[in-house]
Amino acid sequence: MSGVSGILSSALSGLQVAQDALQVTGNNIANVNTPGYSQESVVQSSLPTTFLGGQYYGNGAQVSSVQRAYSSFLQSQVWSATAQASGQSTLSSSLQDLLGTLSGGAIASSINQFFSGAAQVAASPESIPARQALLGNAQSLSQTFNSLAQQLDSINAGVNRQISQSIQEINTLSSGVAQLNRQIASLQGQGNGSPNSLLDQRDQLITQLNAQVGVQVLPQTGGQVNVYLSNGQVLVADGKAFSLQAQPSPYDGQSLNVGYLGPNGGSGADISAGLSGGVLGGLLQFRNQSLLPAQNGLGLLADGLAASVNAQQAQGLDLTGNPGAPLFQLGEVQIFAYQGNTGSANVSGQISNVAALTADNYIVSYQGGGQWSVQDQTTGKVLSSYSGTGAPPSGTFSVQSSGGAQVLSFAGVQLGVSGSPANGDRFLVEPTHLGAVSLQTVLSNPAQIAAASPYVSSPGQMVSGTLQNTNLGNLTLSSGSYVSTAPSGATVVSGLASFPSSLQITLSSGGSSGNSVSYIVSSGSGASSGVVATGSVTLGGSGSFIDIAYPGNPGGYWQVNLSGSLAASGDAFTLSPGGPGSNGNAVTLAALGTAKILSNGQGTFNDQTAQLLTQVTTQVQQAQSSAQAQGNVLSQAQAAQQSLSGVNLDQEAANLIQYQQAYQAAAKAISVGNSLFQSLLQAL
Amino acid sequence: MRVSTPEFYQSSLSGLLNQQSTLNNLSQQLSTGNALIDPSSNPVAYAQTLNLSARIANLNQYQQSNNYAQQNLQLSSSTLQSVSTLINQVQQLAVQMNNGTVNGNDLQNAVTAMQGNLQQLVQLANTQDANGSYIFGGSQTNRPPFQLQGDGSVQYLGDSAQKTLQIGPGLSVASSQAGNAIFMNVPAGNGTFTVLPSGSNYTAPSGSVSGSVGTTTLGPGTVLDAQSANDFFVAQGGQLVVTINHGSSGLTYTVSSGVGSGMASSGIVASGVYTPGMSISVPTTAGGGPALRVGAEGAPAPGQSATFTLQPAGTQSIFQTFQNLINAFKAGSGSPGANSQRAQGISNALENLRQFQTTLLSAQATMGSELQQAQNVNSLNTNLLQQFQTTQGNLQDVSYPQVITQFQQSSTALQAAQKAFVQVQGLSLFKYI
Repeated sequence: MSGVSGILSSALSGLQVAQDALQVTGNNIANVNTPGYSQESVVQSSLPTTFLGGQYYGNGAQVSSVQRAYSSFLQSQVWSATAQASGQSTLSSSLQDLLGTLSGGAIASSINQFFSGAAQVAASPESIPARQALLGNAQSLSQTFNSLAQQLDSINAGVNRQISQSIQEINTLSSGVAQLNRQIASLQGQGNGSPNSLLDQRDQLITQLNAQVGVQVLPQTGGQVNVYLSNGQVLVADGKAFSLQAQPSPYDGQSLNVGYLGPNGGSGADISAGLSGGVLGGLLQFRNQSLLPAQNGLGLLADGLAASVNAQQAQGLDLTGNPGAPLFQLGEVQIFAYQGNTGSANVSGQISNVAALTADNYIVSYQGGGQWSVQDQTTGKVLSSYSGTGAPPSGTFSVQSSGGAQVLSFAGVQLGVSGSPANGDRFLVEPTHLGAVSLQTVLSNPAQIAAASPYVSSPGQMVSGTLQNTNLGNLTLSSGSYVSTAPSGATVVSGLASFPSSLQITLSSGGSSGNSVSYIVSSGSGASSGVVATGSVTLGGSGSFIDIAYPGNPGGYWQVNLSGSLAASGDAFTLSPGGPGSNGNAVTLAALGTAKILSNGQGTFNDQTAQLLTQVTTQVQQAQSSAQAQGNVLSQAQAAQQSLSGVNLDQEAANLIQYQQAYQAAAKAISVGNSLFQSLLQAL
Repeated sequence: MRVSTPEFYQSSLSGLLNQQSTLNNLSQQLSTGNALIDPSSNPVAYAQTLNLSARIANLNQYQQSNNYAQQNLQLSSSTLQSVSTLINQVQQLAVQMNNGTVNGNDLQNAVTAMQGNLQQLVQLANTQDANGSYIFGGSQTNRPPFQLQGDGSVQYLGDSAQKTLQIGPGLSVASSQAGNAIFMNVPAGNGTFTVLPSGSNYTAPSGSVSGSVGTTTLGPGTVLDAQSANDFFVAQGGQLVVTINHGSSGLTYTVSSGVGSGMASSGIVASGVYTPGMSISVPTTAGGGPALRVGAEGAPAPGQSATFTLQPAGTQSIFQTFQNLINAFKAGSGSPGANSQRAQGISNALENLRQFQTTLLSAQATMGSELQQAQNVNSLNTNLLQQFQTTQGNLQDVSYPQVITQFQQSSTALQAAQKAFVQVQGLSLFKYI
């Protein structure tokens, strides 16, 4: 086309192009704050030329496409940065909750108060007010543990709730992505334009998905994308989305895990372990690496303290002269059977040795033929089998048969198996998980605090309540102490009708340094009635140990030493039950506060408390700085992406003017063409 | 770099929010004075303060036990001081009464005085502390441990328990002494043997001339060879009998040794001519080296003899010594025999009092050193406590100049950011079209 009509048609195409460009600019301005919107621009090209009279004449312009400013590289950087930043910030804020709970919980001060109370009882063992105060301290100690553990439980409940919410969100988002996939695929074929707003929306949904859980995106043919979880499971394949579900852990119904409903739906494989990034990843990391260790660590502290105090109570005598009753009731060892177990076995457990106790959880599984295997669930380490006698050393487990039932021992716990397990049956053992939440002070009578040593050694004989000393030699009987095993060569007194009952040690011969003299231990009055043991001591040497066995659990002996260099036949010593003024056991009780009891004799209760707190504090610091770093990475990625794809209003203002002027110019060209036609018509 | 409009708002906003969070943290530090209000800001310092808190609590516990121990020791010590004063009085009285010139009245008064002393001693031994506990009862602190019987003897109802208190890591003090160790288990005689006079030494045998009674006293004696003396008296259960005979040929002495109450296998281990005032050296076996020596005074009346048994010392309660002294005073006065008998009794009692003073002194010395130790540890721990508290303060107290400076900087930065934001957001091309 040429001539005047050429002018008109070229100008008209210019008018059209300017109008389209203005529409795109208007759309950019309208979407300035739309999340995920990429600024669009008109790609303009000239129309094919006409060859006329040896020359090529242009025929105007056309809009060849409306493009969005987009870089898949920048977008995928935003996605991965979003997953990391969201995960770290979830972890950081959850840890802040945990730290706030623990550091405000006053465990350390209640523990110190308890032992200070014990020291007061040691200072005045006969004082009821001092004993009452110790009971009060015990009460507030157990309540402190209870309330802290309950707060940790409620944090855990909150984590469960957030996991459910996050999974719901993920399901909504992934089905949204699948739907957009389908729409894009159906539109992609039409014309040569691309459905920019649908692509923007899908990118935005994937960004939101990354905020919940880290995902990988793989473009497919036809403009579709597949979305994978970080462990490789498909979340969106073309037009189809697969759901996640919050489901109870296979052992512990209280704890929610993430289940994957694959293409066939149904089964719900547990994929919690493989997830990372996003709110869900952050929550799972928080629960496994911070919350559970804190709960177990607190339980370990409570169990260790309660068991040691109870053991000390059992070694002493209360104000009424009876062996001490337990002051605390320990939380039980929590055991969950795997939901797929087919055998009829029932496993129950108890804490047998606080020194070997750990804050880890264990999985015991039956291998058939009476064989078991034990795995530390926290560290993943498999315990080796120990066949020796006594308690199994750290990192090993032993299986013993007692009365037809099997008893498994490891890490300070003993498990009794009743019924018959099937091959492959598994149990989750949480030795300390309930330690803090179930700790109770069960003693209510202040007189029942066992402050006294079981025996007091005195020279002489007890004759109807009065101590009469006619000893001639220089032998002495030491004041005694508790030992768990009797040394070889000791004179062991066991099987007493009642414990503690008065004993008399009477020398049946005299002698001087170098001689060996024999003695009789009797429970009746006088030397000859109720003989319970006999022994001999070499004078001038290190003496002879006399070990009086405690009845029942946990056993052990009260050990005294008879020594000296000069003895007369008939010299006697009395072991009488400790009276109200005896403070031996209370002194030892108070000293437990600084005794290295936990972690195989490496840690005091205060050490464990400090460890618990500093571990969380350090984790908070790491999470905070990592959240900040990831936040910065995200900002950078967003800035880079926005720099390319974001709308700049100044730019749009300039475009408006530019396209407006183009439009005006094209209109002017039409007007010129018009006047040309007019001139031509008038000339006719 | 091209900046999109929403990005400009977004980044300005997050900058402002960050500044505000910093300001909030600083103002919390300023208002609480605690630099570790957020423990995660300095985990190392936080761990140190936890450790210090535990050590401060331990030290406070030790100090508290220490104060109890000092109170207990001071009470025991001052009680024993009173006992010591009482014993001095008794010694003086005994010495006064050991004199041929005292008359029956004097002795009667002395008996009364001694009975009062005995009661006072029982009272002192039954001293109670502020809690009403009997401090010398061993572990039996809820009843008076020393019970005065109708016959003047005293029974001990306590035991030998000592109260120890922990006043430092691995450091204990005994804050009490058992009553039997102080009052009951006093070595008798000279610590190795006692001298028991036969009752007939000071009475005229029937048919003899009236008034002609002996005046012999023996002891308390000294040990020359402790090992063989102990071996003989304690290990073998031996006894020695010293007989001083006033026969027709003059004064002689014989010492026979034997084992057991029947003096089985008795044999003479020493003999010789007796001179009043002489010391008799005694071996435990015939022909052996001298194991002990006893001094003798006076002599039996002609035709009479005096017998003394040397027995293993064992222990004798101080109450028994008081009672023996009362019995000696009751023995009467006037006749040479009575005076001698009284002299022998007083001599034995004085020896026992001397032994008791030794026991008392060593008990007081023990308590004194425990007290000294407790005080030393106390002042040491006080210093340590102060040091720990200072360190803890350094760790967790806010350094005001530093935090205030930071606060000023942050608030200036926030103001600047706000101002910049307002100015920049006002720049828009749309204003001009």
